Amino acid sequence: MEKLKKIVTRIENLTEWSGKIFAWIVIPLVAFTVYDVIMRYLFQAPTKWAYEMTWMQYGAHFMLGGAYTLKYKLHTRVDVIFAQFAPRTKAIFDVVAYLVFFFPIFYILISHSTIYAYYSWEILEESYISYWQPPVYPIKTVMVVAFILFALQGVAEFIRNLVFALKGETI
Amino acid sequence: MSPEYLAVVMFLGVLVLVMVGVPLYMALGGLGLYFGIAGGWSPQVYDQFINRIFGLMSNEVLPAVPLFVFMGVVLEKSGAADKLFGAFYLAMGGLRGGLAVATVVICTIFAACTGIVGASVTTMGLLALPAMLKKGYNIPLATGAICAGGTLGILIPPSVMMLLYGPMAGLSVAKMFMGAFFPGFVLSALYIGYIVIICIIKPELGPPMPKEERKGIPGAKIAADIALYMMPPLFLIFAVLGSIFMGIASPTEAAAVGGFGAIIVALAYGQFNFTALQESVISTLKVTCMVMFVALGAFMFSGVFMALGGAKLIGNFVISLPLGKWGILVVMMVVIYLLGMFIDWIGILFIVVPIFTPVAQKLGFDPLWFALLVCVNLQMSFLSPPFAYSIFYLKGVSPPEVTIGAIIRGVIPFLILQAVGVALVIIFPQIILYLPKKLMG
Repeated sequence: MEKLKKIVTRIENLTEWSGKIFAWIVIPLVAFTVYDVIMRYLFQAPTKWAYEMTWMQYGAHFMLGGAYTLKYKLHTRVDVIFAQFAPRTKAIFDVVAYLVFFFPIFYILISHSTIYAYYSWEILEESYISYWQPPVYPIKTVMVVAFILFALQGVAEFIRNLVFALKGETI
Repeated sequence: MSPEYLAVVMFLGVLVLVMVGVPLYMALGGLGLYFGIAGGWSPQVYDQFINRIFGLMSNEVLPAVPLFVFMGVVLEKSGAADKLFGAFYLAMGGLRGGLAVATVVICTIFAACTGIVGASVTTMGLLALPAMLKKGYNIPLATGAICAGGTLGILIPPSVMMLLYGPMAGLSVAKMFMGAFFPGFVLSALYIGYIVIICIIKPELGPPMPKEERKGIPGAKIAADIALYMMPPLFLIFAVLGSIFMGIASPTEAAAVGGFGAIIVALAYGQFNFTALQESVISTLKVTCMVMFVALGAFMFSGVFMALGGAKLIGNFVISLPLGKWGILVVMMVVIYLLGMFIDWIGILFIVVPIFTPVAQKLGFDPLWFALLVCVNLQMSFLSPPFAYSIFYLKGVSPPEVTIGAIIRGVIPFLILQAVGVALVIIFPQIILYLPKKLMG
C-alpha cells in the first residue's frame, strides 16, 4: 500500500511539473508568430522558419499537456449518468474503462510512435513543407514522450481507482 | 460481420459509451482501435493512427486554438469586463431590465474577443449576477441572460468551434468567421429584445435602480467612461477580426496578435503580473488539451469509420428518408439538437458532421451556409439540459440561493430564441452569406 502510494505520488509530481513547464510553450508561440507578422507586414521580410515553428510549438504544447489535463480530470466526459453513480461504482467504472480502452490505446500509441520516431532519427528526416527544412525527428520524439507521460498519469489514476474500488480507501 | 454492420455498431457504440460517461478520447480512440482490428486492418491501422495524429499536430489552422484560448483567458484576467460593466451599470441600471441588457451587450462584445464559452459565463457570473441579485432581479432572468449571452462566445468569431469545423469540412476558417458574424448579432439582438419586452410586461422581473444611487455622477462622465472602457476590446476586435476579414492575416497570425494585444490591454489596466500570466498559461493548456484530445481520439475513430463505409451508409440512409430536401434538413438539425442535450459539442462535431456534410452537399445546400447552421445549432448544446456547459459554469460561480433549477428555468426562453435564430438563418440565408460574399466575392 505504502509502495503504491509512493508510485502514485512520484508520477503525479512528474505530471504536475510537466504541465507547469510545458504550459509556457504558448508564450514563444505568441512571440514568434507576432515577430513574423511584424517582419512580414511592416518590413516585408517574412521569416523562413515561422510557419514550421508555429505548428511544432502548437503540436508539442497540446500533446505534452495531455497528462496534466488528465491529472486535473478535465478530459471531456459526459457525466449526466456517471454523476449519479456511487463513488465506488465510479471507481469500478473507471477501472474497467482503463483496462478495456486506456491501456490498449496507449500500448499501441507508444509502441508505434516509437517506431515512427526511430525511423525518423535513422534517416535524420527533414521537413519539406517549407524551404527552411527543419529536422522532424525532435517533434516526432515529443509525440513518444507525450504518450508516455499521459500513460504514466493514467497508471496513477488507475491505481487510485483500483484501490478505492477494492478497499474504499483514497490514496 | 460485413463492414456496414460493423460501421453501424461502431456508430451506436460510441454514442452509448459517451453517454454512460466514458471520457470522449477513450471512447473514440478505443473504438477506433477495436474496429480497426475487427475490420482486418491490424497492424497497418496502428501506423495510420500515428500518421493521423501527426497530421493533427502539424495542422496549419489549429495552432490558432491555443492562441485564441490564451487571448480570452488573458482578457478575462485583465479586468476589462469589470470596468466596462461598472460603466454600463451606471448608464443602464436605471432602465427596466437594464442590467440584464448590459450583461448581454458586454457578453456580445467579449464574444468577439474570445473563442470559447467558459470565460464569459464565469466572468459575468461573478460580476453581473451579484449586481442583479442585489437589485432584486428575477433569478431565472438574470441567469438566463448570463448563460445565453456568455454562450455567444463560441459562435461570434473568433471561434474554436469553427477552427475545428473548417478543416474537417474543407471550408475556409476565415469565411466561416465572416459567416458567423451576423448570426451572432441576430441572436444577441433577440436576447436583448426579449429582456426589454418581458421587463415592460412584468416590471418586477428587472426593477430599475433607484435614482439616488446615480446622483452626483454626471451623464457626461458615464458616457466618457463607456467610451474609454470600450476601446480595449474594440481595439482587439479590430486587430484580430479586422485583419482576418480584410484577408491580411491567417487566423493563426491574427490569434497570436490577439494574444499579444490582450497582454498589452491587461498591462494597461495594471492588473497583470507574473502570477496572472502563470495562471493564464495554465488555463490555456487545460482548455486546449480538453479540446485537442477529443480531436485526437476522433482522428483515430474517423479513419476506421470512413474505411468501413460508415459515413456513406448512414448518409445514404438519411438521404433516402421520404421527406424532401427541407424535411431532411430539419431531421438533421433535430438530431444535432437532441445529441447536444446529452453529448459534448466537440463529440458531435467529430462524429456527426462528417456524416451530414456530404448529405447536405448532395441535397444541394450551400456548404458554408449549412456549416454555420450547424454551428448555431451546436451553440444550443451549451444551453440544453441535462448536459449543458454554460449552466454548469454559471452554477460553479453562483451563490447557493441560485439553484440549478432556477438557472435551467432561466435558460429555456433563451433556448426558444435560439431556435428562432436557427429558423431565421434558414429562412434568410443572407444573414450568413452576406458578409462572406461581400468580402470574398
